[in-house]
Amino acid sequence: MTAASSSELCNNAVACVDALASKITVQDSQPTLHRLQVGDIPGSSTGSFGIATFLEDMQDQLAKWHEITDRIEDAFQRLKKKRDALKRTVDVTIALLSPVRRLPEDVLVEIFSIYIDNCISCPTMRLSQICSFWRKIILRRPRLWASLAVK
Amino acid sequence: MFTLLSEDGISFQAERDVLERSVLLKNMLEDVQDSSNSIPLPNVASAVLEKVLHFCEHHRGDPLPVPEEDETRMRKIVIEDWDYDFISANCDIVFEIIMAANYLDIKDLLDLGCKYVASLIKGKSTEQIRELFHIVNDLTPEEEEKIKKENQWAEAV
Repeated sequence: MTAASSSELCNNAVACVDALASKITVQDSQPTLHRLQVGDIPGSSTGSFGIATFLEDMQDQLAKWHEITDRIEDAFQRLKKKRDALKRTVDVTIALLSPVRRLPEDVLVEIFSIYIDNCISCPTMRLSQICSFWRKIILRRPRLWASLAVK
Repeated sequence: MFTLLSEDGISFQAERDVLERSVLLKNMLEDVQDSSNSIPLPNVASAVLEKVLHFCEHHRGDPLPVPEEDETRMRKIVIEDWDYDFISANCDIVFEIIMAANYLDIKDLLDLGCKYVASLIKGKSTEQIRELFHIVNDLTPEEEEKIKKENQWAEAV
């Protein structure tokens, strides 16, 4: 799929969502709100029946729209999941080219040692949790754990 | 004057006392009395070599750092003003400068680069350190499980 066709599909998807939104008829809730504010209690059984019928109709519509928005939300989450997978591929490739990976191991250990000497809050543990390569380097060197601070 | 040739074929001229900041070049110059031949540096790009020579020129005449044998010594991050300005102005190639300093064996430049990078890490969270150096979390599920236990242990201590 080309970038142009993805853009076209995106335009169509947004247009479809807007078209769906335009199908929702929203009643002005102000008159009902006013009745609540002034303490109006629907008295006659005819009046209550009319409201109940109106409410039932609105609740049916609401359930239908909940179903629709949930389906769109699920599709959107699937799209985001694919996008995040693409981002992971980009990040992993950037990491492969990262200049820090080109440092010789003894230089990296020197940087770790200086950092550890200048931190008080479990610096060795933090470094060992960055990535597999750093973890392996640190676990191989007991000297780096010598300054582990215990409260 | 001696001529250095970078990996991308650019020539740089410098005097002996400047080049002798590098242990590698000092040893090479002891064998080379004729300065008409260029010294090739196949591992150092011109953009980096220029900065390295700038550093060496500024520090020419300074006493050479004495190697410390005590591995347990505490090293505080203390950086002189000129050095800090130099390294922070070149932070986009700091790793290249460190690698060149390591290759050429220029102890004070290597020390400066390492201290600067350590200062960048200082105070940052695990995620912030990954972002800073473009590192991805590639820990295996087994490593993640061990880390979880280590963290529980650390919180309990």
